[in-house]
Amino acid sequence: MSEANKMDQILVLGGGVAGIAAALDLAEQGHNVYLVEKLPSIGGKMAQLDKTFPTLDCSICILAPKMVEVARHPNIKLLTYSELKEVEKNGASGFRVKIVAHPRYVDEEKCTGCGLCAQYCPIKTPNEFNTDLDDRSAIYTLFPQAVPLVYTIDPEYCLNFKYGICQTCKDICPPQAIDFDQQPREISIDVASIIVATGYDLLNPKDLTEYGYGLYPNVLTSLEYERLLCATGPTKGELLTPSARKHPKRIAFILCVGSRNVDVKPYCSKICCMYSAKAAIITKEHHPDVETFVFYHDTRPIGKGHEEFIQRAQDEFGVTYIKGLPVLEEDPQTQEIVIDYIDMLTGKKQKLRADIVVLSPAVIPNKDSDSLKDILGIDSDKYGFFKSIDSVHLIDSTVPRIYLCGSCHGPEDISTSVAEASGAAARAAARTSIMHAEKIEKPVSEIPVNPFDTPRIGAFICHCGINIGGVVNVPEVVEYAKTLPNVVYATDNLYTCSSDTQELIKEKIEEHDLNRVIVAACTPRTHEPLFRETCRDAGLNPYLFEMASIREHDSWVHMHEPEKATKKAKDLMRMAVNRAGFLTPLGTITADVTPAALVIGAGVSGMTAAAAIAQKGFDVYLIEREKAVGGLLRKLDWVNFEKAMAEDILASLEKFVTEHEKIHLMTDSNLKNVEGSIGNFDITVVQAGNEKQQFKVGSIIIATGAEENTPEEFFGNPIYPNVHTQLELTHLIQEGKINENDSIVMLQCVGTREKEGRTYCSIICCAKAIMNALMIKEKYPSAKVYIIYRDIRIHGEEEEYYWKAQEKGINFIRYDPERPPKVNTNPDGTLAVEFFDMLNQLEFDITANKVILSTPLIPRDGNKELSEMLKIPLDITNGFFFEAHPKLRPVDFATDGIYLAGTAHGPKSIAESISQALGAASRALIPLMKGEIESEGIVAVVDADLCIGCANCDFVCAYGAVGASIGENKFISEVNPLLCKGCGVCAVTCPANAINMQHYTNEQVFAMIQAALAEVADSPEPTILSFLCNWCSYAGADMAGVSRYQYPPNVRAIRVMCSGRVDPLYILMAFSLGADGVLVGGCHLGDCHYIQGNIFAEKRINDVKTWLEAIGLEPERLRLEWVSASEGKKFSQVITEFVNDLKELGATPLKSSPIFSSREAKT
Amino acid sequence: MIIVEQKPFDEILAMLEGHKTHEILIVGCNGCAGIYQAGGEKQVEVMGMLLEMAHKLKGNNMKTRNATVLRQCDRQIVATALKPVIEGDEVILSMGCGAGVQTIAETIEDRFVLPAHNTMFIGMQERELGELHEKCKACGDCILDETGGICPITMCAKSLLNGPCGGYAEGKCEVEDYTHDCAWCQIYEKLKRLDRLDLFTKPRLPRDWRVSLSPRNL
Repeated sequence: MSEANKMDQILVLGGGVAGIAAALDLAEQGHNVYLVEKLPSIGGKMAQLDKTFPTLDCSICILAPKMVEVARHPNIKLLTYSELKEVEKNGASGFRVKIVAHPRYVDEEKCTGCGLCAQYCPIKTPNEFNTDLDDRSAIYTLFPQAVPLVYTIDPEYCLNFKYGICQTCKDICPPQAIDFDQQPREISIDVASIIVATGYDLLNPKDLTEYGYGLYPNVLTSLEYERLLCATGPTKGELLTPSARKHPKRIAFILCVGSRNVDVKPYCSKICCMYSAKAAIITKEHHPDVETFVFYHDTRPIGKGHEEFIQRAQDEFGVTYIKGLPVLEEDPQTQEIVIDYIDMLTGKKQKLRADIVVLSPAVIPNKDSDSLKDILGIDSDKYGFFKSIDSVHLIDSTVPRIYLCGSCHGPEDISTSVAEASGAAARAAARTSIMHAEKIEKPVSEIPVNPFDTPRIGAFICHCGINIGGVVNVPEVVEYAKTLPNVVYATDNLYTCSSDTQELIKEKIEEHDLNRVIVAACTPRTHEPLFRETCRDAGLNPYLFEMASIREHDSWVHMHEPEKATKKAKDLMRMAVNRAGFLTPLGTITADVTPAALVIGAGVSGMTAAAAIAQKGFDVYLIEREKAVGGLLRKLDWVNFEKAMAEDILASLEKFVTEHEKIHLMTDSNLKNVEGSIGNFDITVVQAGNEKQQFKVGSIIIATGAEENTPEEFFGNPIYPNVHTQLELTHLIQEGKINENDSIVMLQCVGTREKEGRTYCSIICCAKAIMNALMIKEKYPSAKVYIIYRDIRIHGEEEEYYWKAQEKGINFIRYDPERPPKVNTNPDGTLAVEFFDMLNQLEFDITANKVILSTPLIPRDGNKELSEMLKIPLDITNGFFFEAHPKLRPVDFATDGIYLAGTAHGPKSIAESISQALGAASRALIPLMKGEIESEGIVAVVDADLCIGCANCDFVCAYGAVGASIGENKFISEVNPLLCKGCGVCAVTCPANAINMQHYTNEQVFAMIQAALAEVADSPEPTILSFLCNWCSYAGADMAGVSRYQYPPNVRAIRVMCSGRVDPLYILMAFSLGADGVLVGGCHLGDCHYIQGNIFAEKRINDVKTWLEAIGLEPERLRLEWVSASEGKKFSQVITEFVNDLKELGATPLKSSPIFSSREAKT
Repeated sequence: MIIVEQKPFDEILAMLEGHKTHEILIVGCNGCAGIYQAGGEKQVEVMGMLLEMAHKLKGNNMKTRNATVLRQCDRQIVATALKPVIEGDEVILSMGCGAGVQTIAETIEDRFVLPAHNTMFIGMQERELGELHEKCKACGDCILDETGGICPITMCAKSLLNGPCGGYAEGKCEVEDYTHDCAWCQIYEKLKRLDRLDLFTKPRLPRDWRVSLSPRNL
């Protein structure tokens, strides 16, 4: 941590996804952050999930990189297994906090995470991470990807602590990290503010006797089921009934278990509808023949793309949705669960038998929240969730300088939690005096290495205790390495990652004048940064380091074949040496950032974001195309059930943005042109009646909002004079244009949730309708109000207002979307509304004075031009802007430097828009506060001599980082290294071979292919060469190692950043050199770390298969597999299966007479 | 652009079989074919590897070498780029268009030049959908000024100058069973949008097809 003002440190409580997001934002802005987590590892609930909705991303795959980033960040001090004990006000400027770090009985500095202790620990105790569905040892890590990867002794079960009779772990631990005498440590810190991200717990449904949870083994909670589905779970992802361990045929999901129940938890838990739809879909993906049922009350999507997801569950995956809440009983013979329910849509009593029933228990406050509330001195609401300062500023707690994010203040999904976490970071940052991030120091001098110098390679080969050395004959590998070309030094180490070995590496670099370093050990995914840092310290460019994975990819997965494992280790060594010869030192470029931001749209989101950025002292250009600021706020009255008034919110924001000296407000203005990229955008704005204005900014926030749709008809009915939208109704009420005895009929879902067209749910209309209805009832108690709905979709604690509305005599009647309401005029000018009441199965007609349409929020026109001008994506299905990632980057665009807030992203409430706007401000502050942006070393480069200006690269790049600037009449492509993410898709696309990917160059990959297959002719066994993407499949192979899933040692892996980097030439070269099979592994479709690299991969692999067939080589020799980072089992199965298939096919004829192509001549 | 499509691989192999050589020079083109990834350096390399593997699998040896030229349809470029490269009794496999094959054949007279592609049409690239569409028949007598930028010679099945004919329904053409747009309906819509229906109603006399007679030279 840098020595910034101690008073400007920030404490983040809770290491779940919200805490992680908040800590990373703050750290990137230059703040010193203490991240405190009660458990031994960060990760929170998200680490326990199998997949996330609505993208079905593998949860740990997308979270783990963030966790690792937290551990590595120089500005974050991670305190795991620690708790907040005391908070004391420290004058007006912050707090003095006391944190207790519990003893792990393992020295964090010494533990290498090798796991030997756990293997030898004699104790088995329930594994809380797997919801007690399996066992762990008394010395443990929560899960394989735990951060920090340090073991912890559970004194409650440890024999040494209980009886003083066992010290096995202490005896076996190679780095002698076990310390039974460790004591709790107390840490005292001064902080400027505190972010609370302590998350939630789930209600234990044991007390809800109608479900029999705890009595019937086949009744599970949703979190238990999540672990059951997960590849790292108790059944390794195999779906089995808990009672008989057999494959289930029917699975039922029950919603609202404890939620929306006056006697238990009156509020709606928000997330259950979505995660149940997700679980049902994943179940179907595992076993398409399993029948799945969801028992619901109302389906309630809470964000963008959710409604479509629930529809897909039904239409595409055949999940049956049943409206009705059941009672469960076990069939004692079969242990099946008999579900007794009344189908609310037919009124019939029904029974259904299921093998597994999954309950969605209410989300409840974290079990520590009561004591935490007292320690922090903040308030909580009547349900025990932490209380926000008011109903629209959800991030601010009731105590200044303490901020809330995520589910600690009420149930939230991941994307909202992440947006709020960024928002809390912005709020906390506003209270510090830190105005810019300190630059991270780099060593001054670097050993000059010319790419054409003869490589002098040093190889360090790790025993990893007995993890590698117990299987692979390490000394033999060392001797072999010494015989390889350009290797001038080779040695073995007990632990290459230990700090004394780092010193040894530095020493040897100097002693032997090494210009390339290879470590053969665990996996580059966890340890490459450490060794790169060592090289950097020794003055060697970190990109001259290469790693061979002989643990995860070798000793751990070939435990019973030591000879073959040793042979494989030698092959991997040879590949690394060959590649190392082609490594070149890579530099990064930096660019200064213009310290200003542009915010487009001055509605509630735009103004909130502008204010937060201006508070940090940066100029903000706030442009609004209307004559006045406010956007949709101008048309609202109450913005929520707590009756927060739109005019009050508007007035305070308007005052701030018009008066603040750093905010340059331009109304009646339009964006005319944008050039440049993150850090330096050149902006041209045209203001009506004025000269066009030009200025530069470092980041841009899109907050263009949305508007209420005014339809030309509804359900085929014309818009009669007494038909209005909800917003129009608000005005009628304000203006007193409702009569005492009026009968008012509200129709929900007008022009939304359509089969085609506007398929989305507008989220806020149900609440808006009930608000208007309550407003009418307040002013005109004798007026009659009917709300004719499909599902009542209000969320969290709004639920009680739904009841209140019913108490006030507002009628809620459910209509059949297949038979939408018909409206006709009566002679007296009233309207006759006819529809089918689904719950009572009756035709219904009402005479209405007014019919009110709940129409959706729709995107503003002009979004398309903005999207083209800024090269940011619009979701073509609904016209809203498309964020970089729906879960973990909810307010970012894929293109760096551009951020998103408010309803331009999709329908949402005012409170959520404010949180999200603060989130966008926090993200936009990062480049501004850093003051400079630095490119990655691993970027694409264009050889201008070869470029033919075809612009194919431009078309395939998801980040707008490469292309021929045709607008500027440049016909040679260029890469903007500040935007390039290094996937390499463009390099494969380039027809002229003009683009190469640094650090994954063609030459380097060809050298590895050649080395991998150098001895192929001697091998009677099939030889597979695999190309694995860094993020999913390589990680999946690592996971196979961590889980010790054994597979045949016939495969040699080449790591690439993305499966989209795999050039057909690589595959053809592998075959022509005699590979029996080639495997390309990528992320599952939709999961690609680079948005769509795997889609390109899929197309190319299909092409290559056709070619192989045409030349007479079996296309089955080429396999494309999607393996996620958690699917270790799948990886081992794929390899086993592939080896068997190849044995059946026999050796390829090219094995005995390989073709050495011109490419080889070059290498 | 001139649009080409790769011949079926069997056909290419059969084509090569007729020649008693084990050496092939594969020539790419960085003009049109390179741009839409049919005949660039990368495709040439892939072709070379595939040919070598195909022969090896049959127990024969085949040596390929690559050369990609700026434009195969430029005689001077071909002469300077290829003449010094050609070796032994190499046969040339062109990955350009028909004009490219012929230019090479005319320039390097003592070699067989084989086409790896079929040349399809003059057309437009639609990257978003990954499609290529025919746009011009090279008739030699352009009337796009009168038809709102839509060519009836190319787009109308009958190349009518005064359309539409009676064979359209709901804007589609009877030829190919109403799957293609009727060019004249589109011309009408376009001119209507541009408020120039006078151009639509203007009668056009039969054109002089002699300017379309091949071969043409300028």
